[in-house]
Amino acid sequence: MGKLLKYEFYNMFRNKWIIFYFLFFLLLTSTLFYFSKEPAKVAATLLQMVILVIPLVSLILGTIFMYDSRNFIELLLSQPIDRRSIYIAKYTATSLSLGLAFVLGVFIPYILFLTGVEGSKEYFLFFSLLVSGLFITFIFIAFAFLIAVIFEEKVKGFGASLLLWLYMTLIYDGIILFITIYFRDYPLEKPVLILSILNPVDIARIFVILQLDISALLGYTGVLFKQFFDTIMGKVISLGVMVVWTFIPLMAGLWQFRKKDF
Amino acid sequence: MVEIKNLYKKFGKFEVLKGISLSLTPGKVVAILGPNGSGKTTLIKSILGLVIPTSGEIIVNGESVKNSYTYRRFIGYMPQVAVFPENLRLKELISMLVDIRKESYNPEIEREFIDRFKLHKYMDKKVKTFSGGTKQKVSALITFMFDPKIYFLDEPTVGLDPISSSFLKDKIRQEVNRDKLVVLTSHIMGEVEEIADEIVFLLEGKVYIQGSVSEVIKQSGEKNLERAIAKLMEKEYNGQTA
Amino acid sequence: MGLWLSLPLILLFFTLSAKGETITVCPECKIKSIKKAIDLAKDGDTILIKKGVYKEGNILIKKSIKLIGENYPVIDGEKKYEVITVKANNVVIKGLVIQNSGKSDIEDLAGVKFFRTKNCRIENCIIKNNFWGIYFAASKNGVIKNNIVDGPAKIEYLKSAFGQTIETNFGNGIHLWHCKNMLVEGNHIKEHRDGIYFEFVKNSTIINNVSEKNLRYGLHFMFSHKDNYINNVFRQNGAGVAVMYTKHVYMANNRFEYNWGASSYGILLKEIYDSYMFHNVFYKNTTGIFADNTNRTVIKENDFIENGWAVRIWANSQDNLFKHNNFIANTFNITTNSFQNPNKYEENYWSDYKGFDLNRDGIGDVPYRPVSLFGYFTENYPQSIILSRSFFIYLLDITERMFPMLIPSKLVDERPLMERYRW
Repeated sequence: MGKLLKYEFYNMFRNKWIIFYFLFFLLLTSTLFYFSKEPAKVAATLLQMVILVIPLVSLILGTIFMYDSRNFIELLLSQPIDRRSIYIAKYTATSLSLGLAFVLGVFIPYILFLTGVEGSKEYFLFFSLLVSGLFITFIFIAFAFLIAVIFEEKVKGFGASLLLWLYMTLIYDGIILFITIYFRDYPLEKPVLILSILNPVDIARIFVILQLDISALLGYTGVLFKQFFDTIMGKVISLGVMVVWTFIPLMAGLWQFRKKDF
Repeated sequence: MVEIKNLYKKFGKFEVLKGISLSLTPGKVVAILGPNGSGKTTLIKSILGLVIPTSGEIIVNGESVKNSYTYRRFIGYMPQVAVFPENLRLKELISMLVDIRKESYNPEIEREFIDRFKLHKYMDKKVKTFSGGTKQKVSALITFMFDPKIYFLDEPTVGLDPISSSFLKDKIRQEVNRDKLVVLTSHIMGEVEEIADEIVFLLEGKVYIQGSVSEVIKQSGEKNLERAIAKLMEKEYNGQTA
Repeated sequence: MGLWLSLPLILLFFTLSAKGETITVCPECKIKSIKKAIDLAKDGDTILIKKGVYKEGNILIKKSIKLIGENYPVIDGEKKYEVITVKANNVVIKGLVIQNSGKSDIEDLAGVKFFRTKNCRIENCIIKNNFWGIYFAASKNGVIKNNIVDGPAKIEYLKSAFGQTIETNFGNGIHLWHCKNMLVEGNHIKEHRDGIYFEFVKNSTIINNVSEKNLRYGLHFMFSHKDNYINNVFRQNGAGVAVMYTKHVYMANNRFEYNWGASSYGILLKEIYDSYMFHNVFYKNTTGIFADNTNRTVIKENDFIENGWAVRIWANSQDNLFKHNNFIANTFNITTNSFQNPNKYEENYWSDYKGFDLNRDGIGDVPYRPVSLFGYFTENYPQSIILSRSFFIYLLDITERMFPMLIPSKLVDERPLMERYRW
């Protein structure tokens, strides 16, 4: 397992997509810091990346990597190696590499530009942003692997990835909006809070916006959310949900992988 | 050494293996033959654990295959089409495999294969740039260098030049003489006739004939294996049309 | 005619400058107590207070005298008394540090309280740590100038007191009640409940003040008609500025900034009529202007920059005009709970306007709709704000801009400016 991990990492770090992904965040964050000296504004734009680009890229690259390494997996499967180890090693290497590419791509410019920043350095905001981005990566890579294991055909896999992305980033929020409109006569703060923390993309988004200036706009709803996320309990629950969201597709994928025919 | 009992495999509605029972003993080259879609590759992959059987039992070297992976330390597998991790150089691929599968690794064999296949000049190149033939050589190298007890070779000589092909066939014979079991598939009947001791002929997911090469030829009344097999297949076609 | 007009002024000049005597008070002097000095003084006298700390309980002034401090003597109320109470006309208080008034649930104990006075002045004083700061009741022609009013109500209290009523345990910085013709100029007020509080104060001018970090409002007035508010800064107040039940307000060159919080406004206008807002800057407020039943008011040449809501205007507000304002980088420019549009928006600059100007007259050729669909949702279904920055909302807004369905179709700036209006 350890050795597999070593080689998967080795393979990942020379993958042009990973390098490209890292450079993308590096360039984007540097440019944002160059034009806006306020870390909070940079974080606001990066948030859009976290909730849109990371899920999409994780899904697409995750499925690509899985489909592309099919032959390699077959090679490994004919060796005395456990299927579980192969899957977990591949998942760990892929998600950590993409996650690290994101974290470093944001963190390096942040640290470099920090010296020139006047006013609030927003440590916790960036910390939340990085943690959210990392979890979103873990979750969507797990989904990508699950999809790639279920669907033999690449085209179907990509289709499923896109559908999942649309659902998590678009349709789900549409449902929340529909509920707030349709049930406006009921006290909705708690149901909306619960609905929101069931979607990892929404957790990431809300967790970050609560630390942006915009939190003042949230009014009573915001106070409730802020109170929730400010307590240790709230943080533990939201992190817990992220972890659960990582493990559900990961375990489902592993289960499928173990009974898959190659 | 390999015992298969009542093996079934369905892919969705499509039943590929319909109750195969086989017993393969060491010191032989066994060729698994049959028309396209008769279940040759599925059978081999089932033994390797790449395909999970619907029912039945496979025992390799006294160990049940189900939910196990340790038995594969006795096995070397050359797939039909060899593809390797994209970004690795040949040197790295070899050292990686040695690293993750230390058991019975034999540097002597490795050296011999590299020499005979003239792979030296490829050692620092990325595997993905190799031609089909070179990839096949690499595949043979990484199969043989672990000195396994059982070989599964799926179309081993496809894409190899005559020199390499002859070397590989010699190697196969040598291994059998060392009391190994070699299971192979091939479309070249001349080759099968040349190196195989025993033939398992699959038809529609069942073992149609199992016997030594000479027996099979004799039974068919033809003068060589190619014609014997062709006759067997014709029967199937006729059977289908009738 | 000129003579007839100037005659009362000349008389006034003589009475004011009629030289009284000067009584000096200091810890080493013959007269060590201010109270004693006041006892000795006659109308028109000056009491010169030298450096020192004077703890004399409540100092009551019932004579027309001047209290002048030298090197900022400290008058201390020991957290028990109202420090100075004035119940006479023509009193001047200058150059004193007035601190530590008592606190009471029944009485409005102040640093300095003027009750039923005319022509009184308080200037260059430091009013520190009092329950109420400067308090004028039922007075006319008063001047409050260049004072520092520094209260005990730290903004942290607001957080712990959020949603509770703890904040009422503090008094206001400058509190005027039933006054007329007052001048409030150049004061710096902070950390009180309301910075400046007016109730029934008419024909007065509030100019060049800074009111910041107050628990509730930086400026709070009701029933105070025909007042001018010029060149003030209202910053980081718990709830911003609230003005209510008033006609003819004139506000120019004020800055409303950093009033962030769930219920914080740059300015809250409630039942305001016939008023005029000109050259004000609203920067980083949760809501720039919240207009509730505000009518016939002109809002012209103001800057709204980086607010949550630049303007929230309710359906009961009518016939207001927004012209030549700059709306820059606000989360929402205008929101309303109305399907109609009873107000006018003309020739404003909207930083998110994406139209073009083919004839190059500086006016965009495509009308601008300042209400976004999401703004409409948040106004009508407050919980939907939680979808802020969702990709779904972004797409929804674009769609609505292209095919308007829900937002008031008449709420439109037909002539949006291509560039920021320079004023």
